[in-house]
Amino acid sequence: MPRINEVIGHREIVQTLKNALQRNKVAHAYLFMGPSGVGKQVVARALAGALLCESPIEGDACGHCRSCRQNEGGNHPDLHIVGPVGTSLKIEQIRELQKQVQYKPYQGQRHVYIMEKVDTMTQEAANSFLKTLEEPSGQTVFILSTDQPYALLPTILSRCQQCQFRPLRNQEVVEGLMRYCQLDKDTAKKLAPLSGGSLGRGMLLAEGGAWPLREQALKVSQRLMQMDELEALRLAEELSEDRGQAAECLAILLLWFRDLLIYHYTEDRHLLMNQDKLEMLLDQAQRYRPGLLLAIIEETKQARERILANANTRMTLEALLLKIHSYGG
Amino acid sequence: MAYKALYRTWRPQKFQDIVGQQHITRTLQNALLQGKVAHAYLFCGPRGTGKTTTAKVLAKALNCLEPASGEPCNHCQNCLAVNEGNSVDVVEIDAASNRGIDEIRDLRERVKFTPSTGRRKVYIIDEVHMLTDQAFNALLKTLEEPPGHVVFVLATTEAHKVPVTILSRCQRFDFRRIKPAEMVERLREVAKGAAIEVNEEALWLIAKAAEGGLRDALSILDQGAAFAVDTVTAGDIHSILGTVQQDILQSMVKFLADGKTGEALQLVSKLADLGKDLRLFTREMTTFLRDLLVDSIEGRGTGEQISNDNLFYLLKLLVQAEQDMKWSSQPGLVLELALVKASRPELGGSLEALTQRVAELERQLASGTLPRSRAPEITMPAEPNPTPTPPSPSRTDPTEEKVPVTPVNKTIKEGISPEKTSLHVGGEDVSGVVRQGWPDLMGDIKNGKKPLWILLNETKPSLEAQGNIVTLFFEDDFDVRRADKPEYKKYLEWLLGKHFSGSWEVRCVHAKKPPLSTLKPEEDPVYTEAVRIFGKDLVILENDPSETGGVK
Repeated sequence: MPRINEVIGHREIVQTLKNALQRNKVAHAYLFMGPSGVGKQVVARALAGALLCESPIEGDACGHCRSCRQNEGGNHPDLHIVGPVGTSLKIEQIRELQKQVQYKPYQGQRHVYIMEKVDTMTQEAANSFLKTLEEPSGQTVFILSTDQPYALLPTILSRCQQCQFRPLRNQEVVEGLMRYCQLDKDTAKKLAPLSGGSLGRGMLLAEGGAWPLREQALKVSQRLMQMDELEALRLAEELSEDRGQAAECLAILLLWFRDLLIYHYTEDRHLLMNQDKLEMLLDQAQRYRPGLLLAIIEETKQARERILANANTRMTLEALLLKIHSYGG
Repeated sequence: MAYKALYRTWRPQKFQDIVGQQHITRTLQNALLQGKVAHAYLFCGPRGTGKTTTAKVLAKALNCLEPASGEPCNHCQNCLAVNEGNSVDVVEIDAASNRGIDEIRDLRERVKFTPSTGRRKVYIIDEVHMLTDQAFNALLKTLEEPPGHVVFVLATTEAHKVPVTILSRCQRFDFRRIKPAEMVERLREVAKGAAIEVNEEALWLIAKAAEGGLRDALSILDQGAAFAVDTVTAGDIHSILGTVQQDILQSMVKFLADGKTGEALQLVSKLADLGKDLRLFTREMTTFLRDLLVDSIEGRGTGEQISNDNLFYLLKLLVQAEQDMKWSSQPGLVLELALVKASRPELGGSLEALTQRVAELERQLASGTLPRSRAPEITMPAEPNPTPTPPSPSRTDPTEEKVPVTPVNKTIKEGISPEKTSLHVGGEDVSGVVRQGWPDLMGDIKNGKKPLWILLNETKPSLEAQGNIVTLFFEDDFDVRRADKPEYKKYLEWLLGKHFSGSWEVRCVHAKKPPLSTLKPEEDPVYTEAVRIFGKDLVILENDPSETGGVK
């Protein structure tokens, strides 16, 4: 169970929450929004811990009391975690929640609800939640989190204190990687820019989960301009085996071409994301015209969106690769 | 006592405190004073504009024991009961949670009972758009003619989802977004009342960011109060919202207009490092550009001038980028792309770029500088002609690689069965041989069939022989008809068999021009096409008319 003081980054948000806790001005509803893997859940847990702690120290959880230990073990009776069942958060869950809120908290002073992925709430669920969210009984606190705040009803948004989580800075990711993955500083520094400011992604990379895929993707980037139609089609077949991996591969390619484009205009190596492959990047940078890069990026972006929207993976990839081939192969 | 959010503690308790909706509060107050309160109201408008608040104030005013000029007193027991939310006569229903027909039936049952302490029973049905169709229909009769002591107030953000039959039974009030100036005033009041120190600039920032919703504004103020050390400053609000100061926007627009792509990209990366929200930045850019555009159109433009077209182009790109960033998992990338396109209009495959290129082309065309080459590989022959027939794959004839040069413009008059054609088409061109023996043939015809000899001698049809088909081309349609007779053809076929051995077939065809005399073989579209496909080495010109001189 993390404590608020241990949260990496998000200075403004942490500051706001700590002040609110100390001044006893905690709002009844918070909405944590921001990209995935930057620490929304961590902050939510920390806030819940601090709210439920029996003897808080300067607003933060003490870490020793019964509540804190229960939180640590994940069995605090007044901490409720609501998440999507299947693909969506359903109205039955909200009704159940509304019933629970009526009762007195079991142990402490308040109920704390952590609601994950609230963007998956169905229309009905969201609307039925409005009244409860606006004026919950007692000292209940709702902590909502989402990575797609624009999918939420404006009426939900306006009822919460909105905390916009932003991608972490590089040095913050480095710090996180060193703390949680026990990486040495140099490795962490090379990894960090690739994470795109998401510690979760960085940790995934550190565990080696995404490395082979990246190598594969970069190989594709090298071959892209020389291959003939037949090879393009073969490559599409190879990549299309797994939809998720195909999308991930395109994402890596996008970052790669983005780097090429950025380098073309700025010639500033610090802006690049693929810090560990600088040589290869600089080598390729001479081969592309910016117009071509732009076209490739647009096409790749579109292809990735289509794949994520359940288009036929192989056909999308084939179309993409053939198109890139026709641009200048 | 637990802390309550500002927007809850500062919910207006009187009509007078409701901000920015005078057109509604006045109407209601007058109705109250004159005793002309309708039995059903529909309040609609965007979030945070005061729908539920107005409904509650109206409910209080209706039941207040000591009303003063249409305002509730907020002291009597009825008012207090409403304020605490435990009044028996004011029923607040969350239509989104109780959206079924059963709940509405239940409501219909309870509507009959008279109020217990007040004069009226007020039903506030919030989020009414979420009722099911059946529930709406079940409500219709009650809504049209409720008992005299009942007032319905329906509130929703989405009036378009409410059936027209419901709409027509209610007095409808549209709540407006609250203007920044009015909002600032209210915020100042609240801040003063809640003992929050805020400076003026911060208030304006909040009012702008709230986009017309007072609840949003109060939430931000709340957050600011929690974040700030003592006084809430514009800087605090900027850090909470992740927005940037004006001068950054200004320099960004300048970079884009001057085509300084590198600088623009570096600025963005700096903003990202500062922890700014790039999508919000994009939105701010669009508002900023819009203001510039409006200024420029009205002729109030100051300082460095950027053309309207350019501003419009930038605005369009960034608006699109903002839309895309909402859903993209890599919003930074989307913005960077847009900035590259914005600073390099010639790169974006946009309509603008295309328009520019088209305009350029048109100019060139008009001035005649465009090279008008008629490359043979792209120009199609003007008149329809049979495409060079590929050698049939079954044949093993060594000559099949040579593409025969067939004359253009032949219109085969005779109905020849397709199989027959396919049998012979592509056969060896033996025109030369036939032409050489033609004078002898003519001599035989002169002796055998005089009329045919006269005809052929007069018209001098050009001749072509392919495989065992001899085709005669007549310039005149009439001549074709004269020659194309079975007896003549039979005779000719017999003669050909006699002279060149084998069986022959004769066809008479009407051709407008003698096919081989006017066209040099090198210019023949069939020839050029054949050369294009097979290469010059493989295409061999046979019976070059310049050598054999034709039949004529």
